[in-house]
Amino acid sequence: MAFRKFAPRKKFCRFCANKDIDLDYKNVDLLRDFITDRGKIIARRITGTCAKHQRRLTGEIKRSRQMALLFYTATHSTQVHKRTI
Amino acid sequence: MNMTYETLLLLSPELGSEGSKEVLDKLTGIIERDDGLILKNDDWGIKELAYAVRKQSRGHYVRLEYSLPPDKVSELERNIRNTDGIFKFLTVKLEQKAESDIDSKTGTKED
Repeated sequence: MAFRKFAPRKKFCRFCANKDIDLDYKNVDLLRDFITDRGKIIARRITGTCAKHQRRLTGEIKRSRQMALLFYTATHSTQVHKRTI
Repeated sequence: MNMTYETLLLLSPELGSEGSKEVLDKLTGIIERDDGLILKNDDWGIKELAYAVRKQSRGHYVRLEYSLPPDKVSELERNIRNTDGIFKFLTVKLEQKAESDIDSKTGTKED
């Protein structure tokens, strides 16, 4: 078959593999790995996180957003867009 | 029985070192008045915010770790809400050291 030249790497849950990872809303650098550059939470289908940890992960990401440690969207703007017609 | 909690405060950068110290002293006083104990006072300093809060792009983060009777947390949060210069806050119940079977993190509050 022309397509599917290589088997995709087996995904695994990073938090199950390493129990020492501190899954916390203050650990922004870690949470950044699980959001897109536009700020959306990446599905566990893509990241391979298990259901249990994905539930906690989304909770912590949302906490982090509340405290302005993470952004809700990449297009937060400080100035109000005034349209001149 | 006191539980351990942590509160992350986002203070206005305009408060300055004296103003923020005043706010923290006030909160410390409230915690100690309610039979609580400050375990940790973690000052992150002024950080760039992910998005503008009240038209400010920077904020002063302070993390307080304390033990407090569970029914007094709402009293503390009420006081936080009434204090000027606090943009946002988040209270999280920490994992209890003695009883590890208690569900680790519940309860969030946001301004």
